[in-house]
Amino acid sequence: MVGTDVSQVVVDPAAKTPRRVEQLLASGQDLATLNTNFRGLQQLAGYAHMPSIESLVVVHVPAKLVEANIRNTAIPWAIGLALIAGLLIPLSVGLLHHSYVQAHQSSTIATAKLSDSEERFRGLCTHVPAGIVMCDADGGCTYANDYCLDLMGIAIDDVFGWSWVERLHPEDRDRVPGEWRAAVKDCDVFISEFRFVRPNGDVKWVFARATALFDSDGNVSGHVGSFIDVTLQKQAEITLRQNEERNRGFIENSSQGIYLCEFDEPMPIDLPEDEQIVALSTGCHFAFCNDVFARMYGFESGEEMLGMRAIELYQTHDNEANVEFLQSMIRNGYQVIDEISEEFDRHGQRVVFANNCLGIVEDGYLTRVWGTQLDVTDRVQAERAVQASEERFRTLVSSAPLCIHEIDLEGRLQSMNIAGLKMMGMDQENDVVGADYLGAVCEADRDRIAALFDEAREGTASEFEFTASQDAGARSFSSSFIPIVAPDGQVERLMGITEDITDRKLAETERENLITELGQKNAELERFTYTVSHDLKSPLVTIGGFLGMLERDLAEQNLDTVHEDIREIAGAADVMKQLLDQLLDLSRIGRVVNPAEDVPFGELVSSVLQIVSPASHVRVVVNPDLPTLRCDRIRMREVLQNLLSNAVKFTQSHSDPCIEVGVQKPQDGEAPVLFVRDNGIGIDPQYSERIFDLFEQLDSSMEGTGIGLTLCRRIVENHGGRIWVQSAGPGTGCTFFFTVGAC
Amino acid sequence: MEGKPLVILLAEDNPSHTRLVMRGLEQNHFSNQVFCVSDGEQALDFLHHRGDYTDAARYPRPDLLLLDLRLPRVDGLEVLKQVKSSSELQTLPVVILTTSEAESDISRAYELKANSYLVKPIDFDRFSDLIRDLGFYWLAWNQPPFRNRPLRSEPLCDET
Repeated sequence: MVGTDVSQVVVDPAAKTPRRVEQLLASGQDLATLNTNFRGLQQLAGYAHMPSIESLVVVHVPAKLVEANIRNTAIPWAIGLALIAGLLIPLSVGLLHHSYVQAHQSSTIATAKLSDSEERFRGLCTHVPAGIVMCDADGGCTYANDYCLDLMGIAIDDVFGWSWVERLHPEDRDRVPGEWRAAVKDCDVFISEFRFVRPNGDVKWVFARATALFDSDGNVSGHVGSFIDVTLQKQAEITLRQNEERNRGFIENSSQGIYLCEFDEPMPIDLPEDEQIVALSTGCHFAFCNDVFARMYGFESGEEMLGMRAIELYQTHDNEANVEFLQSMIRNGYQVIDEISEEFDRHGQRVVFANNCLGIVEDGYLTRVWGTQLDVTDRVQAERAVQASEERFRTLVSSAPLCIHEIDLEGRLQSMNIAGLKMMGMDQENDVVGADYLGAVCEADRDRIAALFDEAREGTASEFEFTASQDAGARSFSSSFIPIVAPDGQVERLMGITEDITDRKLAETERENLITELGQKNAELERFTYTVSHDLKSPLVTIGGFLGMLERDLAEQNLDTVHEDIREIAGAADVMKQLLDQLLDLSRIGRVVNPAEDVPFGELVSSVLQIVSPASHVRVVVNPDLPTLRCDRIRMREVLQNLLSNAVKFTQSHSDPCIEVGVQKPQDGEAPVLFVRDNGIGIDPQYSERIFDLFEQLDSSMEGTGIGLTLCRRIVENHGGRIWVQSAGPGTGCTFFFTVGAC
Repeated sequence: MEGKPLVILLAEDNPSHTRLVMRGLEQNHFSNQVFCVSDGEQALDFLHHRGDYTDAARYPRPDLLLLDLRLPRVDGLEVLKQVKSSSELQTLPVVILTTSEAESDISRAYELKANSYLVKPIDFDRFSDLIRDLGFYWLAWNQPPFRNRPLRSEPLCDET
């Protein structure tokens, strides 16, 4: 390097440095600093013009180191420069001494100065923030400064005889020695970047320079080299490259469409909004977009879209929606976050995107817009399908005529539809939300329903009926627990459909009663047909039989028996007529209903007694306080007539017959009990039920058809009352009691 | 008819029917001893020599019971049941003589071991024939159980 023209060393594409140096020399300035570019490495250089030795001293320090120092210590730039200048003065002496000696063939004074400057040089070398190493002509290391030792990770004792080639990184081992040899051969400056491997395995990137040293004969006496640690820069470079690759990978492989729109002319952001919208639609083009983005619009690759304008994508769109979209972007500071847009791709297919974009504003101008876009068509369609289905479900639930409700796992009502609220007599859903479901169940049913509730919480559905508690109106309900299972498989709540079945229950009970009644009627009818077939046939047998007898008796002229035969026939015909009349009566009951009226029983009894007309020796006692009851007068008259004529009939044999009609003092709230008592032949208690059956007669010697009491019972029961008989037994008389319920 | 007259108990609540049966028997010259009762209770009393019928000499044990079904107090089927479940009376032939043609009555009567079931015909000639045949069958042809066998030298069929 020594002897070389400065301009050869200082490579500055702008050729500023030599000019600057010339300016410096011309101005007579002795000391200056300037930025320079040396082989692509930004450096800070210090120049010192030393007229005493007619030399110019230049010190280069990588700019980064200086800047780092300044930043770290917060020393102002001027102080930094001063530091460098200070460094230059001694260095200039040491560094350029050699050439000075050579150039000017110095005197002895110079020799003394040499020894002195050598010392300074060594001191400087020790502290300079660069590695400095020297070797002899054979390549053996003769000097290495501390920086160098630190960098190489070796001790000073190991330096001598140390071969730097062996320390090269394997990948650099072929290249670097070749470069070195070429430089040595041409006596050129060796400049290279390569890696050292430290004994501990660490790799260090260095930027190295070396040049030959010549002895007085002009032979190469050795080499001096300097290098600086550029590991951090190299790592930064690598990181930068990796980042770049990664970003490209991200962009290419992203499921998001990514684009960059650049404005043809940067758009002033103070433009009126409508003009901005025009500019955004037409004044910018796609400068970049990934394939994913392109495919969203029906293109094959991002390259196809380059140069296109937003308006071209909007052609098939609803313009109003686009304007709204751009408006919101402008008003939001050229930013869009997760905004949904509905668009069409170039095939006219409807697509839905979630948009994010950010406009870059520089000096009041919008220059470009970065954006990402996600195709959410499927998701939106699925959401809409879910919404539609939910809407359907909601409509169904709200308009269903049944009470539909949800309860949580604690048994509290969460929701109830309109029909349910109506059923509960509530207006607002809030009136029932939170109410305890089991609390509304009557005590008798609660344990059973609670058990079903527990099962439902475990996932078992059930249907059941219950009666509501008194507070809740004691009505009957049918209800259900339907477990609703969350995606994780756990039951999260219960749904139920409840119906007020009170009326249905009543109807069921009524139906059961009717069935029972019908069953009774049927049995009675069966008995009726049976007895009718028997009892109506009886007189016919008599008639038929005695007609035959009559024929014979007439033929034999047996006049006595003829009369008997005729009497028998007439009697049988009478019985038959009576039977038919009473059967007709019986069939009328329930079929023919007379309007109910208030009937004073005292009057009714007297009028019946006139018809029955008991013999004068029969004592008849009628309680004067007989009540007035609301009933069917005609039917009730038949009851009294039957009971009174029975009483007369069965007291015939008594020497002092007595008939009493009365009323028992009614119990609280109960219907009065009327009675007809006689002191006649009485009834064995075992027959007290049977006598009310159709065609039952205890005594065949008595007149009658066996229908009378059946008739009485039918009438009384039709009035909602009851009839029964009490007797201590034969010969003790008997009492018929009856009540008249509601007609 | 010869030999010791057979004893018949007729349980019939309808006095006209009683007279018809009696007349029918008389006309066919069955000179039997016929006792009439008008309800089930009396019939049982008669058979068990109870109540009004304790005098066993006056009210002998019958050889045949003619039983109506619809009887007051204790109905015919109940009487039949008691007769057939009594160790003393079970061999007594019981002929049901009734107006009822109801299937339930007929099957119930046979279940209770009635010996025969006869329906009273309305037509007089047939009624008359029935009584005649009834008399012949039960009083002449039928061989009663030994215990109640009347003291008779020859069976009816050997007389010809």
